[in-house]
Amino acid sequence: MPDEPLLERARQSVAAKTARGVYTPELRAALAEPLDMRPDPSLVAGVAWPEAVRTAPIDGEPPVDSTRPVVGPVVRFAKRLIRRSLRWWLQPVVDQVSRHNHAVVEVLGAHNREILELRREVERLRRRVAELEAEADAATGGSRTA
Amino acid sequence: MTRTAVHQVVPILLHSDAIGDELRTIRSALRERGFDSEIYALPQTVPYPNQDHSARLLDELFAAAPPPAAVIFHYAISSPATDALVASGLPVVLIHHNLTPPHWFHLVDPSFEANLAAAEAELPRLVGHVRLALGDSEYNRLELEEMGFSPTGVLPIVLDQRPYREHRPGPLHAEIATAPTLLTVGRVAPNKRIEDCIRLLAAYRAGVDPRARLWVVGDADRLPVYRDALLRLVASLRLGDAVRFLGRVSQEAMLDCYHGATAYVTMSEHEGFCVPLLEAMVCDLPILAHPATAVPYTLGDAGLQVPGKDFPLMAEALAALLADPEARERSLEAGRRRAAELAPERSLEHLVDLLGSLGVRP
Repeated sequence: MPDEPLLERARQSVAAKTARGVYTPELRAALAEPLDMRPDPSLVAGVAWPEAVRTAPIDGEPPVDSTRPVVGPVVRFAKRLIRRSLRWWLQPVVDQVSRHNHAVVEVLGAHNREILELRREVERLRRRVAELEAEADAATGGSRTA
Repeated sequence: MTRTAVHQVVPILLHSDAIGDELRTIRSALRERGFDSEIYALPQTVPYPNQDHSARLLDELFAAAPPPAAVIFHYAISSPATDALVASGLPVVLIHHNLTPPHWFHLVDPSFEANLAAAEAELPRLVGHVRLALGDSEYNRLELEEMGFSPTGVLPIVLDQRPYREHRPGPLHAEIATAPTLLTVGRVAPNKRIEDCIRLLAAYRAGVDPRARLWVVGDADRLPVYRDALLRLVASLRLGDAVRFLGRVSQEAMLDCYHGATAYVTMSEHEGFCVPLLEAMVCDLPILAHPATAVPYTLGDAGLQVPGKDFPLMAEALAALLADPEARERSLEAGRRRAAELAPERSLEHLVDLLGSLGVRP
Protein backbone atom coordinates (compact mmCIF):
# COMPACT_ATOMS: atom_id res chain seq x y z
CA MET A 1 0.00 0.00 0.00
CA PRO A 2 1.19 3.57 -0.50
CA ASP A 3 3.12 4.65 2.61
CA GLU A 4 2.28 8.37 2.60
CA PRO A 5 4.98 9.62 5.05
CA LEU A 6 7.60 7.65 3.14
CA LEU A 7 6.31 8.90 -0.20
CA GLU A 8 6.38 12.45 1.10
CA ARG A 9 10.04 12.02 2.06
CA ALA A 10 10.68 10.61 -1.41
CA ARG A 11 8.98 13.62 -3.04
CA GLN A 12 11.14 15.99 -1.03
CA SER A 13 14.22 14.05 -1.97
CA VAL A 14 13.29 14.18 -5.66
CA ALA A 15 12.71 17.95 -5.41
CA ALA A 16 16.06 18.51 -3.69
CA LYS A 17 17.95 16.34 -6.17
CA THR A 18 16.18 17.95 -9.12
CA ALA A 19 17.31 21.35 -7.80
CA ARG A 20 20.87 20.01 -7.51
CA GLY A 21 20.78 18.81 -11.11
CA VAL A 22 20.70 15.08 -10.33
CA TYR A 23 17.35 14.37 -11.93
CA THR A 24 17.90 16.50 -15.02
CA PRO A 25 15.31 17.25 -17.71
CA GLU A 26 17.53 15.22 -20.08
CA LEU A 27 17.31 12.19 -17.81
CA ARG A 28 13.55 12.54 -17.49
CA ALA A 29 13.26 12.87 -21.27
CA ALA A 30 15.37 9.74 -21.76
CA LEU A 31 13.17 7.85 -19.28
CA ALA A 32 10.05 8.97 -21.16
CA GLU A 33 11.31 7.76 -24.55
CA PRO A 34 8.93 5.09 -25.89
CA LEU A 35 10.31 1.59 -26.24
CA ASP A 36 11.85 1.18 -29.67
CA MET A 37 10.03 -1.94 -30.81
CA ARG A 38 11.05 -3.10 -34.28
CA PRO A 39 8.78 -5.94 -35.22
CA ASP A 40 9.74 -7.96 -38.24
CA PRO A 41 7.82 -6.69 -41.29
CA SER A 42 6.55 -10.24 -41.75
CA LEU A 43 4.38 -9.71 -38.66
CA VAL A 44 2.40 -7.12 -40.65
CA ALA A 45 2.26 -9.15 -43.85
CA GLY A 46 1.25 -12.35 -42.10
CA VAL A 47 2.43 -15.90 -42.49
CA ALA A 48 2.62 -15.72 -46.31
CA TRP A 49 5.47 -13.18 -46.16
CA PRO A 50 8.39 -15.62 -45.80
CA GLU A 51 7.00 -17.63 -48.72
CA ALA A 52 6.74 -14.45 -50.83
CA VAL A 53 10.38 -13.64 -50.09
CA ARG A 54 11.54 -17.21 -50.68
CA THR A 55 9.83 -17.58 -54.07
CA ALA A 56 10.63 -14.10 -55.45
CA PRO A 57 13.61 -15.26 -57.53
CA ILE A 58 12.44 -17.53 -60.35
CA ASP A 59 14.62 -20.50 -61.10
CA GLY A 60 14.83 -20.84 -64.90
CA GLU A 61 16.53 -24.21 -64.63
CA PRO A 62 14.82 -26.44 -62.07
CA PRO A 63 16.26 -29.97 -61.75
CA VAL A 64 15.60 -32.18 -64.76
CA ASP A 65 14.34 -35.54 -63.61
CA SER A 66 12.40 -38.62 -64.63
CA THR A 67 12.04 -41.76 -62.56
CA ARG A 68 10.27 -43.76 -65.25
CA PRO A 69 11.95 -47.13 -65.82
CA VAL A 70 13.82 -47.76 -69.04
CA VAL A 71 12.75 -44.52 -70.81
CA GLY A 72 13.85 -42.29 -67.88
CA PRO A 73 17.29 -41.40 -69.35
CA VAL A 74 15.69 -40.63 -72.72
CA VAL A 75 13.07 -38.36 -71.12
CA ARG A 76 15.77 -36.53 -69.14
CA PHE A 77 17.83 -36.05 -72.28
CA ALA A 78 14.79 -34.73 -74.21
CA LYS A 79 13.93 -32.28 -71.41
CA ARG A 80 17.48 -30.96 -71.30
CA LEU A 81 17.48 -30.58 -75.07
CA ILE A 82 14.19 -28.65 -75.12
CA ARG A 83 15.32 -26.44 -72.27
CA ARG A 84 18.64 -25.65 -73.96
CA SER A 85 16.89 -24.84 -77.24
CA LEU A 86 14.48 -22.43 -75.51
CA ARG A 87 16.98 -20.79 -73.15
CA TRP A 88 17.57 -17.82 -75.53
CA TRP A 89 13.87 -16.97 -75.14
CA LEU A 90 12.96 -18.09 -71.59
CA GLN A 91 15.97 -16.84 -69.60
CA PRO A 92 15.38 -13.10 -70.27
CA VAL A 93 11.70 -13.60 -69.34
CA VAL A 94 12.68 -15.42 -66.11
CA ASP A 95 15.18 -12.65 -65.28
CA GLN A 96 12.57 -9.96 -65.87
CA VAL A 97 9.97 -11.74 -63.66
CA SER A 98 12.58 -12.20 -60.90
CA ARG A 99 13.52 -8.50 -61.05
CA HIS A 100 9.86 -7.58 -60.89
CA ASN A 101 9.23 -9.93 -57.92
CA HIS A 102 12.21 -8.50 -56.05
CA ALA A 103 10.91 -4.97 -56.65
CA VAL A 104 7.44 -5.93 -55.42
CA VAL A 105 8.84 -7.57 -52.27
CA GLU A 106 10.99 -4.48 -51.69
CA VAL A 107 7.98 -2.17 -52.01
CA LEU A 108 5.84 -4.37 -49.77
CA GLY A 109 8.63 -4.51 -47.19
CA ALA A 110 8.82 -0.70 -47.21
CA HIS A 111 5.05 -0.53 -46.79
CA ASN A 112 5.19 -2.99 -43.91
CA ARG A 113 7.83 -0.91 -42.17
CA GLU A 114 5.78 2.24 -42.78
CA ILE A 115 2.66 0.58 -41.34
CA LEU A 116 4.63 -0.42 -38.25
CA GLU A 117 5.91 3.13 -37.83
CA LEU A 118 2.39 4.49 -38.16
CA ARG A 119 1.06 1.99 -35.62
CA ARG A 120 3.75 3.02 -33.16
CA GLU A 121 2.91 6.67 -33.76
CA VAL A 122 -0.80 5.94 -33.19
CA GLU A 123 0.11 4.15 -29.96
CA ARG A 124 2.25 7.11 -28.84
CA LEU A 125 -0.59 9.53 -29.62
CA ARG A 126 -3.10 7.31 -27.80
CA ARG A 127 -0.89 7.42 -24.70
CA ARG A 128 -0.54 11.19 -25.01
CA VAL A 129 -4.33 11.62 -25.31
CA ALA A 130 -4.80 9.45 -22.22
CA GLU A 131 -2.27 11.58 -20.32
CA LEU A 132 -3.97 14.80 -21.42
CA GLU A 133 -7.38 13.41 -20.46
CA ALA A 134 -6.03 12.43 -17.04
CA GLU A 135 -4.58 15.94 -16.62
CA ALA A 136 -7.89 17.47 -17.71
CA ASP A 137 -9.77 15.25 -15.25
CA ALA A 138 -7.43 16.26 -12.46
CA ALA A 139 -7.81 19.94 -13.33
CA THR A 140 -11.60 19.83 -13.53
CA GLY A 141 -12.18 17.38 -10.69
CA GLY A 142 -13.41 14.75 -13.10
CA SER A 143 -16.16 16.91 -14.64
CA ARG A 144 -14.75 16.85 -18.17
CA THR A 145 -17.35 16.12 -20.82
CA ALA A 146 -16.98 14.65 -24.31
CA MET B 1 -14.88 -49.49 -2.05
CA THR B 2 -14.63 -46.82 -4.77
CA ARG B 3 -13.29 -43.49 -3.59
CA THR B 4 -14.88 -40.20 -4.60
CA ALA B 5 -13.06 -38.94 -7.66
CA VAL B 6 -12.10 -35.28 -8.09
CA HIS B 7 -9.95 -34.90 -11.17
CA GLN B 8 -8.25 -31.91 -12.76
CA VAL B 9 -8.06 -30.88 -16.41
CA VAL B 10 -5.49 -28.62 -18.03
CA PRO B 11 -4.68 -28.32 -21.75
CA ILE B 12 -1.03 -29.23 -21.09
CA LEU B 13 0.75 -30.16 -17.86
CA LEU B 14 4.24 -28.67 -17.53
CA HIS B 15 7.12 -28.79 -15.08
CA SER B 16 8.68 -25.48 -13.91
CA ASP B 17 5.32 -23.81 -14.38
CA ALA B 18 3.19 -22.12 -11.71
CA ILE B 19 -0.05 -23.68 -12.93
CA GLY B 20 1.56 -27.11 -13.34
CA ASP B 21 2.98 -26.90 -9.81
CA GLU B 22 -0.47 -26.01 -8.49
CA LEU B 23 -2.11 -28.98 -10.23
CA ARG B 24 0.43 -31.41 -8.79
CA THR B 25 0.04 -29.97 -5.28
CA ILE B 26 -3.77 -30.15 -5.48
CA ARG B 27 -3.57 -33.74 -6.77
CA SER B 28 -1.38 -34.77 -3.81
CA ALA B 29 -3.58 -32.91 -1.32
CA LEU B 30 -6.79 -34.46 -2.64
CA ARG B 31 -5.26 -37.95 -2.51
CA GLU B 32 -4.07 -37.35 1.06
CA ARG B 33 -7.61 -36.37 1.99
CA GLY B 34 -9.07 -39.59 0.63
CA PHE B 35 -10.12 -38.58 -2.87
CA ASP B 36 -9.21 -40.40 -6.03
CA SER B 37 -7.44 -37.71 -8.09
CA GLU B 38 -5.74 -37.61 -11.47
CA ILE B 39 -4.72 -34.91 -13.94
CA TYR B 40 -5.97 -35.07 -17.53
CA ALA B 41 -4.53 -33.15 -20.47
CA LEU B 42 -4.83 -32.99 -24.24
CA PRO B 43 -2.58 -35.12 -26.46
CA GLN B 44 0.35 -33.06 -27.79
CA THR B 45 1.49 -33.50 -31.39
CA VAL B 46 4.77 -31.75 -30.56
CA PRO B 47 5.95 -32.64 -27.03
CA TYR B 48 7.18 -29.76 -24.89
CA PRO B 49 10.66 -30.09 -23.36
CA ASN B 50 9.25 -29.53 -19.86
CA GLN B 51 6.08 -31.56 -20.37
CA ASP B 52 4.96 -33.61 -17.35
CA HIS B 53 3.93 -37.01 -18.64
CA SER B 54 2.14 -37.98 -15.43
CA ALA B 55 -1.06 -36.51 -16.93
CA ARG B 56 -3.54 -38.89 -18.51
CA LEU B 57 -5.27 -38.24 -21.82
CA LEU B 58 -8.48 -36.23 -21.61
CA ASP B 59 -10.49 -38.83 -23.57
CA GLU B 60 -9.88 -41.31 -20.72
CA LEU B 61 -11.70 -38.96 -18.34
CA PHE B 62 -14.83 -39.04 -20.47
CA ALA B 63 -14.73 -42.84 -20.56
CA ALA B 64 -14.27 -43.17 -16.78
CA ALA B 65 -16.92 -45.14 -14.90
CA PRO B 66 -18.32 -44.09 -12.55
CA PRO B 67 -17.90 -40.47 -13.62
CA PRO B 68 -15.99 -38.16 -11.25
CA ALA B 69 -17.87 -36.18 -8.60
CA ALA B 70 -16.11 -33.02 -9.79
CA VAL B 71 -13.64 -31.92 -12.44
CA ILE B 72 -11.42 -28.94 -11.66
CA PHE B 73 -10.68 -27.16 -14.93
CA HIS B 74 -7.70 -24.80 -14.95
CA TYR B 75 -8.25 -22.08 -17.53
CA ALA B 76 -5.39 -19.99 -18.92
CA ILE B 77 -5.46 -20.57 -22.69
CA SER B 78 -7.91 -21.46 -25.44
CA SER B 79 -8.04 -25.17 -26.22
CA PRO B 80 -10.43 -27.91 -27.41
CA ALA B 81 -10.66 -29.03 -23.76
CA THR B 82 -13.19 -26.25 -23.06
CA ASP B 83 -15.84 -27.38 -25.52
CA ALA B 84 -15.14 -31.04 -24.73
CA LEU B 85 -15.85 -30.43 -21.05
CA VAL B 86 -19.03 -28.48 -21.84
CA ALA B 87 -20.24 -31.29 -24.09
CA SER B 88 -19.39 -33.94 -21.48
CA GLY B 89 -21.87 -32.58 -18.95
CA LEU B 90 -19.41 -33.42 -16.14
CA PRO B 91 -19.66 -31.28 -12.96
CA VAL B 92 -16.96 -28.68 -13.58
CA VAL B 93 -15.26 -26.39 -11.06
CA LEU B 94 -13.47 -23.67 -12.97
CA ILE B 95 -10.21 -22.09 -11.79
CA HIS B 96 -9.57 -18.95 -13.80
CA HIS B 97 -5.87 -18.08 -13.91
CA ASN B 98 -6.51 -14.93 -15.91
CA LEU B 99 -5.90 -14.02 -19.54
CA THR B 100 -3.45 -11.33 -20.51
CA PRO B 101 -5.26 -8.94 -22.89
CA PRO B 102 -4.20 -9.92 -26.43
CA HIS B 103 -3.13 -6.40 -27.41
CA TRP B 104 0.03 -6.77 -25.33
CA PHE B 105 1.29 -9.30 -27.88
CA HIS B 106 0.33 -7.36 -30.98
CA LEU B 107 3.19 -7.50 -33.50
CA VAL B 108 5.27 -9.35 -30.93
CA ASP B 109 3.71 -12.81 -30.98
CA PRO B 110 0.75 -12.97 -33.40
CA SER B 111 -0.08 -16.62 -32.68
CA PHE B 112 -0.23 -16.05 -28.92
CA GLU B 113 -2.24 -12.88 -29.52
CA ALA B 114 -4.71 -14.95 -31.56
CA ASN B 115 -4.89 -17.67 -28.88
CA LEU B 116 -5.59 -15.09 -26.17
CA ALA B 117 -8.32 -13.49 -28.30
CA ALA B 118 -9.84 -16.94 -28.84
CA ALA B 119 -9.56 -17.63 -25.11
CA GLU B 120 -11.36 -14.37 -24.30
CA ALA B 121 -14.24 -15.43 -26.56
CA GLU B 122 -14.19 -19.01 -25.28
CA LEU B 123 -14.25 -18.47 -21.51
CA PRO B 124 -17.78 -16.97 -21.34
CA ARG B 125 -19.07 -20.11 -23.10
CA LEU B 126 -18.52 -21.91 -19.79
CA VAL B 127 -21.13 -19.71 -18.07
CA GLY B 128 -24.00 -21.98 -17.01
CA HIS B 129 -21.84 -25.07 -17.40
CA VAL B 130 -19.78 -24.86 -14.21
CA ARG B 131 -20.95 -25.53 -10.68
CA LEU B 132 -18.46 -23.09 -9.19
CA ALA B 133 -16.10 -20.54 -10.74
CA LEU B 134 -12.94 -19.68 -8.81
CA GLY B 135 -10.38 -16.99 -9.49
CA ASP B 136 -6.91 -17.26 -8.00
CA SER B 137 -7.27 -13.65 -6.89
CA GLU B 138 -10.13 -11.33 -6.06
CA TYR B 139 -9.26 -9.50 -9.27
CA ASN B 140 -9.90 -12.69 -11.27
CA ARG B 141 -13.07 -13.43 -9.30
CA LEU B 142 -14.44 -10.01 -10.18
CA GLU B 143 -13.73 -10.73 -13.84
CA LEU B 144 -15.66 -14.00 -13.58
CA GLU B 145 -18.58 -12.24 -11.93
CA GLU B 146 -18.60 -9.63 -14.68
CA MET B 147 -18.77 -12.41 -17.28
CA GLY B 148 -21.87 -13.83 -15.59
CA PHE B 149 -20.42 -16.78 -13.66
CA SER B 150 -22.21 -17.70 -10.44
CA PRO B 151 -21.41 -18.73 -7.78
CA THR B 152 -17.84 -17.44 -7.68
CA GLY B 153 -15.05 -17.60 -5.15
CA VAL B 154 -11.32 -17.08 -4.64
CA LEU B 155 -8.78 -19.86 -4.37
CA PRO B 156 -5.35 -18.24 -3.97
CA ILE B 157 -2.71 -19.94 -6.06
CA VAL B 158 -1.26 -22.91 -4.23
CA LEU B 159 2.49 -22.38 -3.78
CA ASP B 160 4.58 -24.70 -1.61
CA GLN B 161 6.47 -22.15 0.48
CA ARG B 162 8.83 -24.59 2.20
CA PRO B 163 11.62 -24.61 -0.42
CA TYR B 164 11.70 -20.81 -0.24
CA ARG B 165 12.11 -20.81 3.55
CA GLU B 166 14.51 -23.76 3.78
CA HIS B 167 16.85 -22.61 1.00
CA ARG B 168 20.60 -22.79 1.59
CA PRO B 169 22.55 -20.09 -0.33
CA GLY B 170 24.26 -21.32 -3.49
CA PRO B 171 26.90 -19.76 -5.79
CA LEU B 172 24.54 -17.20 -7.34
CA HIS B 173 23.66 -15.84 -3.89
CA ALA B 174 27.22 -14.67 -3.35
CA GLU B 175 27.29 -13.10 -6.81
CA ILE B 176 24.02 -11.20 -6.51
CA ALA B 177 24.95 -9.92 -3.07
CA THR B 178 28.12 -8.19 -4.33
CA ALA B 179 26.19 -5.05 -5.37
CA PRO B 180 22.74 -3.57 -4.70
CA THR B 181 20.51 -5.54 -7.03
CA LEU B 182 16.91 -5.02 -8.01
CA LEU B 183 15.27 -8.26 -9.00
CA THR B 184 12.31 -8.97 -11.25
CA VAL B 185 11.10 -12.47 -12.08
CA GLY B 186 8.77 -13.72 -14.78
CA ARG B 187 8.36 -14.27 -18.49
CA VAL B 188 9.95 -11.37 -20.39
CA ALA B 189 6.71 -10.20 -21.98
CA PRO B 190 5.36 -6.75 -22.86
CA ASN B 191 2.62 -6.71 -20.18
CA LYS B 192 5.35 -7.15 -17.52
CA ARG B 193 6.79 -3.79 -18.57
CA ILE B 194 10.40 -4.82 -18.07
CA GLU B 195 11.29 -1.55 -19.80
CA ASP B 196 9.91 0.30 -16.78
CA CYS B 197 12.10 -1.77 -14.45
CA ILE B 198 15.05 -0.69 -16.63
CA ARG B 199 13.95 2.96 -16.44
CA LEU B 200 13.58 2.62 -12.67
CA LEU B 201 17.14 1.30 -12.50
CA ALA B 202 18.39 4.24 -14.55
CA ALA B 203 16.73 6.67 -12.13
CA TYR B 204 18.00 4.71 -9.11
CA ARG B 205 21.58 4.79 -10.39
CA ALA B 206 21.35 8.49 -11.19
CA GLY B 207 19.86 9.55 -7.87
CA VAL B 208 20.52 6.88 -5.26
CA ASP B 209 23.30 4.41 -5.98
CA PRO B 210 25.41 4.27 -9.17
CA ARG B 211 26.43 0.67 -8.36
CA ALA B 212 22.85 -0.62 -8.55
CA ARG B 213 21.95 -3.40 -10.99
CA LEU B 214 18.82 -5.04 -12.34
CA TRP B 215 18.59 -8.81 -12.69
CA VAL B 216 15.79 -10.15 -14.85
CA VAL B 217 14.99 -13.82 -14.25
CA GLY B 218 12.69 -15.46 -16.80
CA ASP B 219 12.51 -16.64 -20.39
CA ALA B 220 13.76 -13.76 -22.55
CA ASP B 221 14.09 -15.65 -25.83
CA ARG B 222 10.45 -16.45 -26.63
CA LEU B 223 9.69 -12.88 -27.75
CA PRO B 224 12.81 -11.66 -29.57
CA VAL B 225 11.13 -8.47 -30.85
CA TYR B 226 10.46 -7.37 -27.27
CA ARG B 227 13.81 -8.59 -25.93
CA ASP B 228 15.73 -6.73 -28.63
CA ALA B 229 13.80 -3.53 -27.87
CA LEU B 230 14.76 -3.92 -24.19
CA LEU B 231 18.42 -4.37 -25.14
CA ARG B 232 18.25 -1.18 -27.24
CA LEU B 233 16.78 0.65 -24.22
CA VAL B 234 19.57 -0.64 -21.98
CA ALA B 235 22.09 0.69 -24.50
CA SER B 236 20.37 4.05 -24.97
CA LEU B 237 20.24 4.60 -21.19
CA ARG B 238 23.93 3.61 -21.03
CA LEU B 239 23.27 0.90 -18.46
CA GLY B 240 25.55 -1.68 -20.09
CA ASP B 241 26.00 -4.75 -17.95
CA ALA B 242 24.06 -3.23 -15.05
CA VAL B 243 21.08 -5.06 -16.54
CA ARG B 244 21.44 -8.81 -16.71
CA PHE B 245 18.97 -11.18 -18.36
CA LEU B 246 19.43 -14.55 -16.71
CA GLY B 247 16.78 -16.40 -18.76
CA ARG B 248 15.10 -19.45 -17.30
CA VAL B 249 17.04 -20.67 -14.27
CA SER B 250 16.82 -23.62 -11.89
CA GLN B 251 14.74 -23.24 -8.76
CA GLU B 252 17.96 -23.23 -6.72
CA ALA B 253 19.33 -20.31 -8.74
CA MET B 254 16.03 -18.45 -8.52
CA LEU B 255 15.98 -18.85 -4.74
CA ASP B 256 19.55 -17.54 -4.59
CA CYS B 257 18.29 -14.45 -6.40
CA TYR B 258 15.35 -13.96 -4.06
CA HIS B 259 17.54 -14.38 -0.99
CA GLY B 260 20.46 -12.28 -2.23
CA ALA B 261 18.74 -9.36 -3.97
CA THR B 262 18.24 -5.93 -2.42
CA ALA B 263 14.62 -5.51 -3.49
CA TYR B 264 12.00 -7.06 -5.71
CA VAL B 265 10.47 -4.72 -8.30
CA THR B 266 7.48 -5.15 -10.58
CA MET B 267 6.16 -2.57 -12.99
CA SER B 268 3.71 -5.01 -14.59
CA GLU B 269 0.53 -3.61 -16.09
CA HIS B 270 -1.35 -6.90 -16.10
CA GLU B 271 -1.25 -9.75 -13.59
CA GLY B 272 -3.83 -12.33 -12.61
CA PHE B 273 -2.03 -13.07 -9.34
CA CYS B 274 1.76 -12.47 -9.72
CA VAL B 275 3.39 -15.45 -8.03
CA PRO B 276 6.83 -13.73 -7.77
CA LEU B 277 5.32 -11.25 -5.30
CA LEU B 278 4.35 -14.13 -3.02
CA GLU B 279 7.79 -15.68 -3.51
CA ALA B 280 9.45 -12.38 -2.58
CA MET B 281 7.27 -12.04 0.51
CA VAL B 282 8.15 -15.57 1.62
CA CYS B 283 11.85 -14.76 1.10
CA ASP B 284 11.64 -11.55 3.18
CA LEU B 285 12.59 -9.36 0.23
CA PRO B 286 11.46 -5.70 0.23
CA ILE B 287 9.05 -5.03 -2.63
CA LEU B 288 8.41 -2.02 -4.83
CA ALA B 289 5.35 -2.49 -7.03
CA HIS B 290 3.22 -0.65 -9.52
CA PRO B 291 -0.29 -1.35 -8.19
CA ALA B 292 -2.00 -2.61 -11.35
CA THR B 293 -4.70 -5.30 -11.82
CA ALA B 294 -4.20 -8.16 -9.29
CA VAL B 295 -1.03 -6.76 -7.70
CA PRO B 296 -2.77 -4.86 -4.84
CA TYR B 297 -4.92 -7.93 -4.09
CA THR B 298 -1.90 -10.21 -3.87
CA LEU B 299 0.17 -7.80 -1.79
CA GLY B 300 -2.55 -6.62 0.59
CA ASP B 301 -0.78 -4.31 3.05
CA ALA B 302 2.64 -5.60 2.05
CA GLY B 303 5.19 -4.04 -0.27
CA LEU B 304 5.64 -0.44 -1.23
CA GLN B 305 3.05 0.30 -3.90
CA VAL B 306 3.70 3.52 -5.78
CA PRO B 307 1.02 4.52 -8.29
CA GLY B 308 2.02 6.32 -11.48
CA LYS B 309 5.33 5.73 -13.11
CA ASP B 310 7.44 8.62 -11.93
CA PHE B 311 10.72 6.74 -11.89
CA PRO B 312 12.78 9.23 -9.84
CA LEU B 313 9.98 9.20 -7.25
CA MET B 314 9.88 5.40 -7.26
CA ALA B 315 13.68 5.26 -6.92
CA GLU B 316 13.65 7.66 -3.97
CA ALA B 317 10.72 5.84 -2.35
CA LEU B 318 12.59 2.54 -2.59
CA ALA B 319 15.76 4.15 -1.22
CA ALA B 320 13.74 5.62 1.68
CA LEU B 321 12.24 2.22 2.42
CA LEU B 322 15.61 0.48 2.39
CA ALA B 323 17.27 3.16 4.52
CA ASP B 324 14.56 3.26 7.18
CA PRO B 325 14.85 0.13 9.39
CA GLU B 326 11.41 0.64 10.93
CA ALA B 327 9.58 1.16 7.63
CA ARG B 328 11.47 -1.75 6.11
CA GLU B 329 10.60 -4.10 8.98
CA ARG B 330 6.96 -2.96 8.89
CA SER B 331 6.82 -3.76 5.20
CA LEU B 332 8.53 -7.15 5.61
CA GLU B 333 6.28 -8.08 8.54
CA ALA B 334 3.21 -7.23 6.43
CA GLY B 335 4.69 -9.49 3.73
CA ARG B 336 5.12 -12.36 6.20
CA ARG B 337 1.51 -11.97 7.36
CA ARG B 338 0.27 -11.92 3.77
CA ALA B 339 2.36 -14.98 2.87
CA ALA B 340 0.84 -16.78 5.88
CA GLU B 341 -2.64 -15.87 4.63
CA LEU B 342 -1.70 -17.32 1.25
CA ALA B 343 -0.19 -20.50 2.73
CA PRO B 344 -0.96 -23.57 0.59
CA GLU B 345 -2.49 -25.47 3.54
CA ARG B 346 -5.12 -22.75 3.86
CA SER B 347 -5.87 -22.72 0.13
CA LEU B 348 -6.15 -26.51 0.04
CA GLU B 349 -8.45 -26.63 3.07
CA HIS B 350 -10.53 -23.92 1.43
CA LEU B 351 -10.73 -25.99 -1.76
CA VAL B 352 -11.89 -29.05 0.18
CA ASP B 353 -14.51 -26.89 1.97
CA LEU B 354 -15.70 -25.52 -1.36
CA LEU B 355 -16.01 -29.05 -2.76
CA GLY B 356 -17.90 -30.00 0.40
CA SER B 357 -20.31 -27.12 -0.18
CA LEU B 358 -21.10 -28.77 -3.54
CA GLY B 359 -21.73 -32.09 -1.77
CA VAL B 360 -18.41 -33.54 -2.92
CA ARG B 361 -16.74 -35.31 0.00
CA PRO B 362 -14.21 -38.15 0.27
